[in-house]
Amino acid sequence: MNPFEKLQAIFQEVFDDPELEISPETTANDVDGWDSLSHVNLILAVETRFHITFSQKELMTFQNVGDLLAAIETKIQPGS
Amino acid sequence: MFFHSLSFALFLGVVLSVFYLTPRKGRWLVLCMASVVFYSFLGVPHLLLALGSLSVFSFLGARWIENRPEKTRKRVFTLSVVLDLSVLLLVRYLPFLTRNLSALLHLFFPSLPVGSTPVLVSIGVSFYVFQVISYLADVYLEILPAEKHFGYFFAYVSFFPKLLQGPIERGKALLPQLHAPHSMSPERIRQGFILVLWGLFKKLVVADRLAQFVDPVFSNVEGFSGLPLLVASYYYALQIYADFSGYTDIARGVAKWFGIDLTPNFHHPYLAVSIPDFWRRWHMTFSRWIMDYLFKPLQMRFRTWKTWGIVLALVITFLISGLWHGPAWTFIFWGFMHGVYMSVAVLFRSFKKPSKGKAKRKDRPQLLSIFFTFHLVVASWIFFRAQSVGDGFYVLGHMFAPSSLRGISLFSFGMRITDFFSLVAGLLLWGVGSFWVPKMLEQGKKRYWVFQYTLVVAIFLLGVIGRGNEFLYFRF
Repeated sequence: MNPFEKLQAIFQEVFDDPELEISPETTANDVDGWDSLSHVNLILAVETRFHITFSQKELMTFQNVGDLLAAIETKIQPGS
Repeated sequence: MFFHSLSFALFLGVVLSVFYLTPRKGRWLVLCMASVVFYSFLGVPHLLLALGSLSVFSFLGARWIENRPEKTRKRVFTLSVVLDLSVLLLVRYLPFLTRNLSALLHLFFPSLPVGSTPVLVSIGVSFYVFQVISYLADVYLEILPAEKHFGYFFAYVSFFPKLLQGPIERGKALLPQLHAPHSMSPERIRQGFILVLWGLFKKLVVADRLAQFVDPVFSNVEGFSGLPLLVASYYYALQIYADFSGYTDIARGVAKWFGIDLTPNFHHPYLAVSIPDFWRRWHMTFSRWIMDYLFKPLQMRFRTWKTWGIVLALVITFLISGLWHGPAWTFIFWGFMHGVYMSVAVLFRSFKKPSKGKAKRKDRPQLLSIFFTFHLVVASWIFFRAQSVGDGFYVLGHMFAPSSLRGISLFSFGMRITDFFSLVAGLLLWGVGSFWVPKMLEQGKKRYWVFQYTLVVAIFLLGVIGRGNEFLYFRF
């Protein structure tokens, strides 16, 4: 499973929607239930599953799924 | 020099004339000088010194942040924010801190004298500090490039229509407008007149009339019980909205004449269906600021505590919001109430799945939600207006007690019967206009002159003219 597919699975689980499909352009406005409350759950799930930790600055600058994915890809080891 | 004074009208006429007679490249200088003159007229000692030092620290800090290694960027950002907050603390909050700290020490060491320090600057600085911090944060987060020209930077942070009561403008919204060529189109002139007249109407016809009842009650709450307390609480909720949104409209209208669009600050806040919804509609530039620069960083810092981390972040955010309004326990308590309201909203929702909850909420009767939310807000305004937290609790505890009208009609209390009817007419016009004005700003000339004449007549016929009441948010 590549990072994008893994991220999509996390989104489906956090937002309780197995049909949910994301793209790099997806923002909080496009996903039902993506608010401050669920955003914390999403970030925690991403950090746990990918075994990474985001910096405060990174967390402040995510505008869409693409930004989140780019930050994940720079942190994970190849093949993990 | 208040917005609703003749001296401001004259000042504005001169500044606009000089502004449009000056070649475009030099207009930033006209705006900077106009702001300096405007602040000088306020007669607040040390204000210019405080604003000048905040501007220099933030301008230099942002220039230093740019193109440096991350470690340096973070240090300079932190240092600049600490410097800005120190200025605010020194000029505004030092007496409050000294008073409370020395009162605390006095409990343990009664022989110690109770210390006091003077308030150096009481107005304007809080709005200014929020703006420069957002500018520094945006440069640090690489959302905004640092401004290279100090003149344009100073014109942005000190633009006189918006400084004393906002809107709190972000650099990315205002700086590009200052660099772009300013144009005076008939459309902008018309929009400016609509907003300025509408703001004056709200201030002079609604807010200042309501103040005639609210001020005597809240300055001596224990002299009243029952209905006057209840009515004064509702009136204050309307007064602060009319007053504050009136100022914002005038600021936006005046800015239009300089070719600048300021950010709207209110969107029917008393039609909110929940407290989070209220904060999306009330003082919107402020609530976006506290959400972006206080709540989100705190929420992320406490993320491992999940929902309770959000609750803690909300309470801290709103306590600071309360304190931002002024060095007084009443504001801190008001902030605490909103922190609790927001936390309850979060906790309540957390017991349901978000997506299913959303569908359910749509079915709930909206009117009931609006009614309930409005009353939670009114309860918080009582503490915001009261002279002490104790006074606030007195009002809450005695508003349903037997009324202390002492044979005086509620209508005539603090108001002549003609004043009361002026208020009713003003409130009706305000209600109609609230839905009419946004449409008129968008739709060209239709019924424009009718509206303008109605407002002018209403202001002179129904307004409280010549009292020179300052705007409520002026002191924050």
